[in-house]
Order: sequence, then structure tokens, then C-alpha cells
Amino acid sequence: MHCATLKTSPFHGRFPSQLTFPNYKNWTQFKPRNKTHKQSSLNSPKHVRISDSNLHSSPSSLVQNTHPPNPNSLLFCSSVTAKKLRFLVSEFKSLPKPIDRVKRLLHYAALLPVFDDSAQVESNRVRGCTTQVWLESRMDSEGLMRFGAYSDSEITKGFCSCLIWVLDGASPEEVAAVAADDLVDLNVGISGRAHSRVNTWHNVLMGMQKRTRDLVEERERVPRSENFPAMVVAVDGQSANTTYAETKERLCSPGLAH
Amino acid sequence: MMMTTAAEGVVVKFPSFKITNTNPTLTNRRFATVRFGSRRLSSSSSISVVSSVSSSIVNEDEPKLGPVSLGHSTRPHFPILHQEVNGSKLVYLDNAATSQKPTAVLKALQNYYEAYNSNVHRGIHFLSVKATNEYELARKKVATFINASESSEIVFTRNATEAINLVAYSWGLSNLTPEDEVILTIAEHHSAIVPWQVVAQKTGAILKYVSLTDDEVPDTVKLREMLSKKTKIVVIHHVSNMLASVLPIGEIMGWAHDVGAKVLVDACQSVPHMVVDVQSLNADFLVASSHKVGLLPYILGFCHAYYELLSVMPPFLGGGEMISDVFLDHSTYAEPPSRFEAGTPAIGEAIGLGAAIDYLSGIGMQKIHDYEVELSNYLYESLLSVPNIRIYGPKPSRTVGRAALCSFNVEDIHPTDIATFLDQQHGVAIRSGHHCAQPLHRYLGVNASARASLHFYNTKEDVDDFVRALKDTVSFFSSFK
Ligand SMILES: Cc1ncc(COP(=O)(O)O)c(C=O)c1O
Repeated sequence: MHCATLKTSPFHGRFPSQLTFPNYKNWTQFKPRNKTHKQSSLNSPKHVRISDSNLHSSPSSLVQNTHPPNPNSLLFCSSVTAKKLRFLVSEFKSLPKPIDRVKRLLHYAALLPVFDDSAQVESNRVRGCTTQVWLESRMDSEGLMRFGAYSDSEITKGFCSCLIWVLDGASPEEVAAVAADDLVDLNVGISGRAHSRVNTWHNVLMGMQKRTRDLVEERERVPRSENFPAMVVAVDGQSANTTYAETKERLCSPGLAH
Repeated sequence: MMMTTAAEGVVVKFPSFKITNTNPTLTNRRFATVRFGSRRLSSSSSISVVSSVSSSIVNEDEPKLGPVSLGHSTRPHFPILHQEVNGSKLVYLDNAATSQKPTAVLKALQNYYEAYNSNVHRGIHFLSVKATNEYELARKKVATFINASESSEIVFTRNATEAINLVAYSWGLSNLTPEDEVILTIAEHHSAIVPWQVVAQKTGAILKYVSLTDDEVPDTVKLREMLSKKTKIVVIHHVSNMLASVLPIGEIMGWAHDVGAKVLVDACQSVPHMVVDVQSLNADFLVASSHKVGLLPYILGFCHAYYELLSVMPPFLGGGEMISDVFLDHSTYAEPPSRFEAGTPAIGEAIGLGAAIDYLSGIGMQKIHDYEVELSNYLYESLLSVPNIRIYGPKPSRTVGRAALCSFNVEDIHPTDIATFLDQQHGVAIRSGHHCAQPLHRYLGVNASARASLHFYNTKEDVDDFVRALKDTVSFFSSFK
């Protein structure tokens, strides 16, 4: 499968010691980000890989997960975002004791960049969590996604901190390519797979993806009909036989964000 | 929007509706002052909880909580309780959300599916007749359990939420007109608020909310003052799922009926824990959810209403079972309760509920209640030893009874963090969040709370384990500060 290309400066040095990826230096060897990528976005056929099947999976137990790997998973890509995600997953996998996972999250919570009070507005709220979460999303001048988050719960802050570490500075395609299933092994309390209204990982990720789609769309909003064929190809290989507007509706509908 | 909402004495007083970026605010008013002999929860109430509150708040040597307690003797009947969660013995304290099911109920369900699973009221074959008999027997058992005079006064619904919607849509839409008033308390469950908001929007009726006293119980004096000829229905809980307070339903009923208003009692948190007698309460509508009530699987609730009232109410949902005759352009409706039970009902669940009622009656609801009062007081007093804790609702006393649950916050620790750590590190299951009572949480100046709720199969040791685990949780998070 084709993965989103890499960007040159993946790592923002402010991140936690535990997350300092040992081969971090190698990252700079990755190919510079492909220019064309910036303009592509949701209408870049092979990058966006959200399908219902990724989101509607059955709850798994707290037992370390043994689900069959999803071949489309971002985890199998070679992008920096994918590497970070893999690193995070293996880090949490290496902590079999729940208390250690909680401790790690609290550590990351402490490292969550300061979130501006003024961004704690209703429109930034992530719905559906048992804690209050605010998520600020913007697209920088290079077309990369920038995220900030805050929660009144320390554990939730830890979740947000991890997600931001992975996705802040990622391209919209990479953000869209993370599946809830990829987070299964990060479970603390509620598994990443649990399709639950209290699953913070899931809700924050869905919030990031929804806002990314909105921003991409905003960037691309040109006075043209939404009736051109959808260029989004889902995992199920569904071809562009629906219109862009329909596909957008499907991808952005609240049902997906449960 | 047509709906007007008057929340007298509620909104203005508490400017805490804005979103805060801090942990749940803990007011300094840690515990409400106790008002002995409070008129509001006077012993004239017809509810047994008030009069039977233990005189000794906590007595560690209380024999009722000892090794031969009701909790100890019934625990073996609940297979689910005997397991490890995250490496610790499970301590299940989320009973207000749903209760666990005894073997007797599981067996009844299994027997139904193995021996006579069939649709009811439809077939003339053996299995269908047997299923119909058992289903109707379950209805009789529910009627007896809450002392309804007729089993036809029991309407089976999907859950309490649907039962409330049934009343709101069927009775509410055909009886409310603009300017009519519906009185609720700010402590109602969302499922008792939202259907009335919808109906108020459609009819132009006005919703009025009663706030709390300083003791953190719904203010029945205010409620009484709010009642007028305009009041058409009072929608109130019996036992609060967050405050653990118990309302004097008998008194409220008298006041409401004096002005000609109907009363809908949300008995979700009382029917599972105490004797509820619909005839002595005299409620027009009483709803409950069987998964809490009857130690039963989900998908069943019920609504009790007097037959005369039911018989003049239009159907809520249309379909099979609820009709008498169907023509192409109109239908005639069956008599209650069938009129309100469109489609194939949750047959197995009803039969399981019947078995649950047999099980509970075998123990005796009064005995269950007395034991829970002891355990509840023990929980409350034990929790007070946790540093910086704020427990919501009234302080228990000789005159003020609390249901067997405590909602609380610990200063500077989010309740979800507490619940997560309790689960992960100690195998203790409690609830965190707003417990479907957001208006109440806003009123109290918090976004969320933690809640431990007991049932009769819990023991003093469960409470001890929980409180020990909670203290460990608090020190864990404090060490991270
Ligand atoms: C007081 C109260 N009312 C209503 C309900 C709604 O019950 P159900 O979800 O079974 O419809 C609940 C359940 O939490 C409750 O505690």
C-alpha cells in the first residue's frame, strides 16, 4: 500500500525522554516531503483510508491484544508519523502492568504543551468523553496539521499528549490514516478498540480527523460543485462511484465519531 | 422555540454554568449541615426508608454487617462477582448503573430459551401457550411486587426511559396545552427531563425545576409553592441516583393531587432496594428499569398506571400486538396493557424478571432495605476518612435516610482518573461522569463526579476494599502533583 510521504522535521524536541526514539537521528534521512503532497489532500486517492470497518470493531479486553494486523494500518507505513505511532505502541506494549501504563500517561500529561485558556471554548470541545477535552486544530503554512489539547483529567491529558506527539506536524493524509485499531495497544482502562462513548483515545482521534477534514475542505473550498466524483478510496476498495459530497457526508457523519 | 423553561431559584443563584478548566470545583461547604426533624423528609412520608434509618450511623461491630450478613449469604448466588479483574478480586460498586444477576435468573432465562422460546399472544401451539403464560405470569409477579391491584396496570417497556417517553408522548401530548406547567427537580435523570422538553416544545407547556436545599436534597417546600392550578404533572424521582436522597413521595402526591396534577415517579433507584407500594404511594405513573430492579438483563422496564388512566391514553408506538382491528385507513386499539406494547416484547427478559422477583421476595425487600441502610451508612462514614473528599447529598441521620450510594469528588483529582486507577490497579468498579444528571452537576458546580453504589450482595469487606483502594488512589495521584 502507498503511504503518505515523510516530512523533514518530524520531531519537536519538547517531547518526553521515554519517547525519544533511539533511531531518531535516522529520521532526518527520510526523503523530504513531496511537494505535490501539500496540494493533494482528501482527493488524493490512495492516502485516505478510513472505512467503517476500522471504526466499528468489537471491544477487546484489557488482555494484551492479539487482533490480526490490519494490512492497511498506518503501522505498516514508513512515514515518520507511522514510526512514532509504532514507537508509542511498542512502548505501551512493553508495560504489562496497568499501573505502569497509567504512570507513563501521567508523565506525558505533565509534558503536554500549555494550552491557551482562550482556546477552551465550546467549539473546541471533544464530545463524548467522561472528562472535558478541548482540542485546537489548525493547518500551518506548509499544509501540515497542528494540534493542541487540554483536559481536566490527568490521564486524558496523557492520551492527548501522546496523540499530539504522533500527529502534530503530520500531513492531513497521515492524520486521516490513523485507525482507532492502531491504538489498541495503548489501552489504559478502556481498550482502543472499545467502541465506547467513554473511549477518550477514540474520541480525541476522531475529533482530530474530523477537524482535519474540515480544514482540508476549507482550504480547498473553491467555487465548484460538490458533485464531482469522490476521489476518496476506502479500504474496502470502494471506487469513486459516489459523489464527493456523499462521501464527505459519510466520512464526516457523527456516526463515525462515536 | 415554544418551550419556556422556568428554573426558579436555580439558574441565577449559581453562576457556575461556564466551563472551567480546572478539576471539579470543590466547595468548602464539604458537608451539608444536618437538619434534624426536617419537615422535608419527615416521617409522615409513606416511604419506609425514612423511618427505618438505622439509629446508630456506624457501628463497626454491627452484627448486620458481620460475616453472616445478607451480603455474605447472597454473594454465592452471583457468579459474576467471583472473578479477578486486572489481577485483583473484583469489587463491583456500580449497581446504580446496573445490578448483577443471580443464578436463579440466569437459569430461568436459559430454561426459557432451551425449553419454550416462542412468540407470545400469537400462536396456539404448545410452546407459544407456555411462553404466553410465563410472560403474563411475570406481569402478575411485577404487579404483586409493587402491590398494584391489577396486572393489567403493568405495561412492559424496553427500559425506564421508554416508560417515561410513553407517558410523555401518550399522556403528555394529549393533555398538555400552552402555559400548562410541568414541575421537575434539577436532580432528575436525563431520561426524565428530555422527553418532557420534547413534549413541552410540541405543546407550549412550561417546564419548572425545583432546586436543592442547603442539605442538598430537592427542596420540597419550593416544590409545594410551585404547584398551582396550572400544574398538570409533577415528574420526580423517588431516590436520587446521585444525591442518594429520598423524596417523600406520599406527601408530594397529596399536594399535587390537591391542585389536580398528575405525578410521574421515577422509581429506578428505589424499586430495587426497598418496598415500593404503588397503592400507598398513589402515584399516577411509576416507572422502573428491570435491569436495576429485577437483577435482570437489559431491555425491559415497566410503567405502572391505574387502569382507568391507561384506558383513556392513546397508543405510543403503533404495530402488532397493540391493535384490535386494522383497516387500510384506520385501526382500533387493544385494551391496556397491550395497547402500549407494540411488537414482539422482550419475552425472555420478562420471564427472567419474574424469576428475579421470586428471588428478591424470597429474601424480603424490607430485609434487603434494612441491610442496605446499614451498609450505606458504613460506606458514607468510611468515605469521610478519605482526605479532601466531598460527598454529595444529605448527611445521614436519624431522620434523613440515604440510599446505598455515594457520589463524591476528591479535591484536584478528576473522578475519571480515580475510576480508571481503581479499576486498573485495584479491580474496583465504580462510575465516573455526570451519571445522566448534568443539570444537577452544574448546580453543584462540578462537571463530573465519582459514584460508588451498593446492592445487597455487597459486603462490609467490599466497602473496606474500596475505601482502602481509594486512599491508595488519592496518594498515587497526589504523589504526581
Ligand atoms: C433515576 C434513574 N432514572 C432513569 C434511569 C434510566 O434507566 P434506563 O437507562 O434503564 O432507561 C436511570 C438509569 O440510570 C436512573 O438511575
